[in-house]
Amino acid sequence: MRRWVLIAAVLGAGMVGAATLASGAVLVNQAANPSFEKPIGDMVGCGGVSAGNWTSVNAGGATQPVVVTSPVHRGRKAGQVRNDVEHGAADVANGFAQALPSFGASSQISLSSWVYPIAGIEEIELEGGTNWCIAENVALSFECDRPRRESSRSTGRRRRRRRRSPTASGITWSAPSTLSPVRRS
Amino acid sequence: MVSTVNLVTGKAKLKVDGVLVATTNAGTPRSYGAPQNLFVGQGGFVGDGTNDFVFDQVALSSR
Repeated sequence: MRRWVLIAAVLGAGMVGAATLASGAVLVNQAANPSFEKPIGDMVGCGGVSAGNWTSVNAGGATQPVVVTSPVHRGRKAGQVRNDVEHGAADVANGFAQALPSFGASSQISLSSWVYPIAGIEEIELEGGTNWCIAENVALSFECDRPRRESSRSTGRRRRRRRRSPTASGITWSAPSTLSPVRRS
Repeated sequence: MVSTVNLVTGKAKLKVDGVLVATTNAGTPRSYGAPQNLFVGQGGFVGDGTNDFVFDQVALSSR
């Protein structure tokens, strides 16, 4: 049985998931193409990305991110970021990025995403600057405790254990403790 | 230009086959160089190794 997990985390005082404030105001999602339903931009290396849609980004030599039709949470598509270092891909940054409008001073930001963890560590980040490769960022990092896809579905024992304990679900969640420049290339 | 973002980190609780709920804590304002990007995927320095995640319903909102 597939395991579906909705990951949501907050940067800001907003409410998670429902994206509705206590005052009744509705938060507007500023992420374009949030479900990857529309075609995305061609893959680029380090540098700037456009607003209004995702661009597939790759610092060079990583496995190219792709839009997939399974698994998905809603709609027909989702974005998969897979870097197969064990089979020769370069261990550098890759994923999907899009430019956002500049936020006003003291903006309160909420970030959330559904994620399907299969292996390794990945992130959702709000970055500052024009180069996605070299940017200050706040990252929500998700770590899968299963090293490979095959092992994640190999036994019923693991599934039963995950049901009993959320901490054994295969994901370690961490919020940022510092804001620091990250150089990916 | 630098934007100051009022960062409030979330405290996550995982729930299998359902919804992960995050609750908010008091945070510290952080400064960003503008403009901003939204990124999902493998970041950071080399050394993360093989990874594989699928993302859907990505949301960013501000107020």
